[in-house]
Amino acid sequence: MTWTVTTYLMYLAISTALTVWVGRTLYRNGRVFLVEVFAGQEGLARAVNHLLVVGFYLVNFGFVSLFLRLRHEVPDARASIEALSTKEGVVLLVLGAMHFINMYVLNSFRRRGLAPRQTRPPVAPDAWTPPGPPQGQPRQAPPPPPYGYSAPGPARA
Amino acid sequence: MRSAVMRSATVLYDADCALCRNARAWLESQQQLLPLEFVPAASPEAQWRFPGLDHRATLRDLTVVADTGEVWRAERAWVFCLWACAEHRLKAERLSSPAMLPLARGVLGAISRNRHWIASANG
Repeated sequence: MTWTVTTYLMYLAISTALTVWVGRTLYRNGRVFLVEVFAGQEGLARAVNHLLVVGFYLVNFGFVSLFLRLRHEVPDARASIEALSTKEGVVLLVLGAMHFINMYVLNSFRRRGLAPRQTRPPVAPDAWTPPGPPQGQPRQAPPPPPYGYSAPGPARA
Repeated sequence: MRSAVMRSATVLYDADCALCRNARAWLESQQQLLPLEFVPAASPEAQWRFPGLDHRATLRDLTVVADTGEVWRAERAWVFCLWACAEHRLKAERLSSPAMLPLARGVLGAISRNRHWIASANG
């Protein structure tokens, strides 16, 4: 077995191990996010999480596979380690980028899921005014001010 | 600052302005997470509902009064209205960031000041 083939095999083994490790990390921790987003609907959370991780594996293994080929022969152990180091460095950067994209997707799911449960608007009020008479009363021909109410306009003692 | 739970809000809009009436119709057509009621600004009904409010100011800027008595004006009132809509809550959040709110103030302020002109220019 030549050094080139050995380098390829080592590259595939290390890249696969790294991808599976990152994928499993995403799967484990993504679940926590998604269970919160889908308000306890475990089945739906698991399905979405699984689909996200499948996409992650497909993109990464696709990249690892396309990036396999070395443009030159590897004559010895030193050249093999150097070639591996370069390849794995790029694979790690791609994995890192994919990981952040995944986190962004999970977080946007979370924000979308939590929004309807907010009870306060995102901006603070400018002022406060005492609420007027109870609503739901006839709206045509505004009724006279309630008894004891003193406001500008026709006085009703 | 009061922080009671809001159940509804009243939007005081300029009923003499076609742009504002269109905006009201659009808001009414949206699915609302917080029910919005629309009352013409400075109308007798508005004055009856909110006797303590400066009603001349409500003719200048869009005003929202929650059932808790809290008042939002101008661009904050717009953010409030978007936030009340199910479809636009995330947009409201983005718009309320410190970077976006001054921009919203500028754009909405310019539209608001020229609203009668814009409405007449569009027939």
